[in-house]
Amino acid sequence: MFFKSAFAFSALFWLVAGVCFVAPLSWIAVTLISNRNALDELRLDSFRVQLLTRTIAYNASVAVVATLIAIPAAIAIGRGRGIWTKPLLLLLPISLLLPSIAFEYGWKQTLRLTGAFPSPQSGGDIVRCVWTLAAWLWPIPAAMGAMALRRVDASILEQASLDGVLGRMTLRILAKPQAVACAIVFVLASQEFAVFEPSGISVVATEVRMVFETGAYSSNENPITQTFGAAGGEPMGSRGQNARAAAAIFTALPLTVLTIVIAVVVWVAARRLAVEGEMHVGPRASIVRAPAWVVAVAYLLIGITSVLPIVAMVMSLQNRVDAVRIWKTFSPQILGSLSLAMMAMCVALCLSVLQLSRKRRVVIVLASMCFLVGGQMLAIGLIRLFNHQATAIVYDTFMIAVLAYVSRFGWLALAGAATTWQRPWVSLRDMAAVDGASSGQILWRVVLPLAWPTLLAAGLLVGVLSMTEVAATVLLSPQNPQPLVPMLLGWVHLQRYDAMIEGTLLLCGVVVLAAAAIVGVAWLARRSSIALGRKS
Amino acid sequence: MEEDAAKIACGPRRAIQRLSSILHPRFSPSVPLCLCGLILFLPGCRDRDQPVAVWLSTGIGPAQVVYPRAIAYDKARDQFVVVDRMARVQRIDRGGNFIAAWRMPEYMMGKPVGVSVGPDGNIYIPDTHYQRIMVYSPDGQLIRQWGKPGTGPGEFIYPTDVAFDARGRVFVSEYGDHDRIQVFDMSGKYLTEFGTFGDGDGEFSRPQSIAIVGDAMYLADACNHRIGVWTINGKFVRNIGSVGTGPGQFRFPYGIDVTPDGKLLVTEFGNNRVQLIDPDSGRSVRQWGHAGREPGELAYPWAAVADVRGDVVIVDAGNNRLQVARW
Repeated sequence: MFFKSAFAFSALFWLVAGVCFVAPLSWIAVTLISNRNALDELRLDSFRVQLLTRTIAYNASVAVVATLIAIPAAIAIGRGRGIWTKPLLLLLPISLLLPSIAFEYGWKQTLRLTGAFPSPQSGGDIVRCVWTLAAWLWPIPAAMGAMALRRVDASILEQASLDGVLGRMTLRILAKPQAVACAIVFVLASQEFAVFEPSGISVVATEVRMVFETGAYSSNENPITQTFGAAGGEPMGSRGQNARAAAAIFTALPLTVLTIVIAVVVWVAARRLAVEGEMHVGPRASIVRAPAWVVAVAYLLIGITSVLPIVAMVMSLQNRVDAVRIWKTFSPQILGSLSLAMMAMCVALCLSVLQLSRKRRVVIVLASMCFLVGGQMLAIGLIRLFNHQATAIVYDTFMIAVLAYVSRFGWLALAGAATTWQRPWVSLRDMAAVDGASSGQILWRVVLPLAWPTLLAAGLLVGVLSMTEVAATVLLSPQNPQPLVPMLLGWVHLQRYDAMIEGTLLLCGVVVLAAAAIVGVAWLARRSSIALGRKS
Repeated sequence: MEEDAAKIACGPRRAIQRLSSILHPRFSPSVPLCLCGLILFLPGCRDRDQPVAVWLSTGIGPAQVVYPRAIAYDKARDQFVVVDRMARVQRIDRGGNFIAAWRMPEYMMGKPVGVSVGPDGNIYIPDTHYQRIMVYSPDGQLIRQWGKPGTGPGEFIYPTDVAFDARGRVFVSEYGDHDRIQVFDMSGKYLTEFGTFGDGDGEFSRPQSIAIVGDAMYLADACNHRIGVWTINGKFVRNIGSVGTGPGQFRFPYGIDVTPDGKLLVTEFGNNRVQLIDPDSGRSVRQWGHAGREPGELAYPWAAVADVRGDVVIVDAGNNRLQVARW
């Protein structure tokens, strides 16, 4: 009986993993190999070199700024300061969970209120975009730095403090994780187009979307669109969706290769950091605690990056806030976003439960690759795979969006399940096996009752990120049910606009509520993990 | 009992039973997953309104569009003018065939969201993100332009639409911190203005589109989710509709036009449909479309126009096409 169940579970797992991870990656690979016409897009003429250089420069700036502003929070959380540290832990991830559109519009409103708004596409506007992305992504370097500091043996910090080199020692400890986090921020920033596009700033992410939707680059300097000038000008060449999709994949290829190289370096570095970090964390003397001013700066930065844009949006509202009216206005779209997110969460949960029965490293690698290629590439791959008469049931329903979200964020659920194959879980599994439990019994009666909070937290995280995902959602639009994000993206402009503000705040509210649920479940997960550690 | 159960177990219920039997009975996440899926899938199975034709396709070639947002009907030539998110203006004939096209001179900061054909036969385009009105000849030659950024007379923030009264005056709607209707003569000389931002009577929030019939001006008050009725002298008359999804209710009405028999043709961006409204009673006479990709379904429609025959051409922006409905 269990053999049959195990087989069914395994088949189901591979079916979902195959459709979500293997199929889009395979489509991208086949497209790259087979599409000779699209190779033209790889010509490194001056336009393309400039595009790539610009993209790297802007996103590298984002990474550096995010890493620098993360240092105070990393020190404050990493070295601790009693009761002042715990709220930081809760507040830090908020900005990362909110949609990038909220930051884009929030910062525009902040600058509009101060009367310092730069003209579109100017140097000041580029700085605004860089800051917007950095203010969104900085919790990543902050969290990585904090983890590195918390893992350091307390006696080392105490000795450094006695020697008067605590500051230098802290910065040395932070250097490696911050470098890794810097690379991660670069990768995530380069996948985002919602910040640059409304200003008309051309980067690879904006051009990938434009090439997929139109077959041509959006830029003024683009030799293709230049021909479309005067009335009765030379007609443009018509390209099918397959050709446009291939061209979009090739447009993104140089940056994707760079992303994968960075990811490999990050992975190697992260493994080394994890090995170095396995030290006993003892009680810490008060002399190594973060100085009060550092904690104050950390709070200030959280206030500036997360709270200020939201406050600016609220201050920009012209109409009085009427919850009933806002709900009536946005209920179909917010319910659409919630439905899709819940289904993505359910599928991710199923994947993670199925992953408990067997450690499948290759799937985690594939899922991570799906995340690295970005939401746009995944969406394009899935559209091309399912935009056929025979697969209309996937393409014309909610399924295509759910597949895209699981492809993009499924690695989180798989990684959550993979933790049950590390110590002390391995010892627990071994003990259960020695007691005569079958594989199925170990899974259902031993691992799952303890691991469910971890899996649920990871699943919820997949759901929240699905709700705020811009790249895949916009490319897959129109969807049924309709999510809120594509509607909001069309409204991002400089002037205050109540509908945009109300929709964004509603989405942020829902996300924060979901995040609160994640925190609660994660707390449960931590408790069960601690209990398990004590038992083993 | 078994027989009764078998009779009941048809359609969705049978589908649930079959899915449940395939999956492991203890695999509880499958049940909510299937239920969610069916709940969301079944509405998609309802009957659709069928269009009599679907015009244009995705792309930047002739008879292709990328997210079209505005349409105007040229009654004298029996042609349509369409503007899309590539800042392209295309003229097409009654069969949806390409006639001519040109591009706006600037477009990196944003693209036009409106277009109208004037009584002089020229094409008037509110160049929304460049704060000006552009006037083109039917073959795409720029004849004149007026307007600059600002909130003073003759200045604009985001002009959205142009309409004309019988006296040849040009009405321009705009939003963005200074929602109002400005009135010009045909040469672009400022005459007067009326209306202000707000949600009360005589106020509006994002007047996305305007239509004039005789002495009445109908205004798509997009963010107040209603239709404003004004006189062409700037006197507020009443509002039609409220926010919602029911008949006679609106969610982000972006487009408004008047059919040959005097009904209002309201395009709802938020409800993915077009409603025919009786302007006297404010009642919904007919609704067409719902969200989706198939013919007869709409995705973020921005505008619709009725031609002399009463056919309605709908700008199905999210699906990169026009759909022709007949009712």
